[in-house]
Amino acid sequence: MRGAVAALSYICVMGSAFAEGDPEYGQYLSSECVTCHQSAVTGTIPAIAGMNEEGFIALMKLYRSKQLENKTMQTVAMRLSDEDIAALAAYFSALKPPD
Amino acid sequence: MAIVDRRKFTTGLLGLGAVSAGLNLPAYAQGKKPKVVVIGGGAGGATAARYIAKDSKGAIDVTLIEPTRKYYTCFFSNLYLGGLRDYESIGHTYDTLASGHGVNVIHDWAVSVDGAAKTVELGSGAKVAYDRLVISPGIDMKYDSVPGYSVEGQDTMPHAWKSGTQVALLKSQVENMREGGTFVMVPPPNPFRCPPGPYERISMIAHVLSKKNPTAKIVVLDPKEKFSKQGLFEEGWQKHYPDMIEWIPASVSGGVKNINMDTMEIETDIDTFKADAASVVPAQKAGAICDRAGITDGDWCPIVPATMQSRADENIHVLGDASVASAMPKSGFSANSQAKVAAMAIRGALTGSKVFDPRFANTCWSLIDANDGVKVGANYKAGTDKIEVADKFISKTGEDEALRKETYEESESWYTAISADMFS
Repeated sequence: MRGAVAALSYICVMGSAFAEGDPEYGQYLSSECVTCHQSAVTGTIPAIAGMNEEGFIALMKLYRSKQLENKTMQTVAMRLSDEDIAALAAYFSALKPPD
Repeated sequence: MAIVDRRKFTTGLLGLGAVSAGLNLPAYAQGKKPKVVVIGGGAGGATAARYIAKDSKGAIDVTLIEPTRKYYTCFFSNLYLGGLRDYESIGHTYDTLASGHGVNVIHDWAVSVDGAAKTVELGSGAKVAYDRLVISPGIDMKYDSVPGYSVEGQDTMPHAWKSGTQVALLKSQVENMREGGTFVMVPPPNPFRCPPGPYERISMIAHVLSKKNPTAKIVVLDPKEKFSKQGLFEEGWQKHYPDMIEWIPASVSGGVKNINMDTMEIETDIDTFKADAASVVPAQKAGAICDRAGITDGDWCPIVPATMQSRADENIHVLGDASVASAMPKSGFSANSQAKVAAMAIRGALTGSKVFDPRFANTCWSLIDANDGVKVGANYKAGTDKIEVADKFISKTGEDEALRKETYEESESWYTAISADMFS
């Protein structure tokens, strides 16, 4: 029974994650991005806080299809679904851009 | 102690399920402010403390126990050795974790853990209570894994595998080698912290010697038959430091038979190598607190992949080098990634916040010569028993100089970013 409760709970949580632009989900996914992309520009890695939502989605899809170079970004994008990318775009576009 | 598995790992909603089943109430359901204690302020512990405090917005009391007031990162310590970074640039304090996120930072040693009472005893004798404990102590050395080496010998032939003053000492010894002298590197056997690290160290020492002492030699007495990014390093050594580095695997040398610290002689089956300076990195194990907490199986701590909970105690999460993270290498990036997964699971269990599908990632950049950077990395997922590789990549041999420079600059940017992700 507890196993079933756990499984159901898990599905419920995962289900809610797929709602487009879920900010909590976007925030969780973003924790992988901020290991390299902080709110301020750090050298050659661009800041993505405050980035235009459509632009973000387009870029991530170009990395996912390997039309843009950078092995790290291609690998990051490889496991992101369209919903994941939308959630990330919603999250980062709502942040204040660096000064 | 109870063995936890994926079916039992606690999500916020499972917490509510447990309430209905009449089990122990989570702290938040009892109206108490839950407490998280984090042992170790490195890439795993500092990140976990920061994310739990930041994302719970004051709903969880977070205490970080770390003996040092300034933390010098292992990652990029090789660049300091190579003269490409200054020492202070790899040092970080805990000031902002305390002032910006309300983390209670205690500069003391954690000497024991009472899993039944859920308390941590400090060097001062004080006890700190927790609802969830994060243990991220890094590694300890198995000094006797190299015959003749010892804790006393670490000043003569520094392992320099925990950053800080040992690296400063090694740098000084390399720079003061006699002209045409020999540097001997003894890398550790698997598994160990930072798989490409010994070979980046060799590269950075060669970088220094090629400028200051170009007739010097580097001998590498490796207990292994192959190593991380081997093709990339060997290509780079040939290109930048021709005839300077001789890598000898154990199948050729027979392994290190004895080290005489007084005469600086390192004995193998094929020869006795007289070193003018040396770095000996012994075999490693989880930090000693793990044994005292009763969460080790052999040298390391088995974990539940989805939450990084200890297999031996579901109230303890183990991060970074000390854990058995299977496919994930023991790296600062890995520890930082695992910390975020654990932070989410802990907040879910203690405050009922949402818990999503765990995702892990790692990239290890290495520098072969100034502006010649390479990288290896992967995405990982939580399997039932192990953390598994999802997708991976590695730099290629023969890449052009512009790409290698870009990779190096990317690593510099990453260093700034991950430091902020841990300490800002």
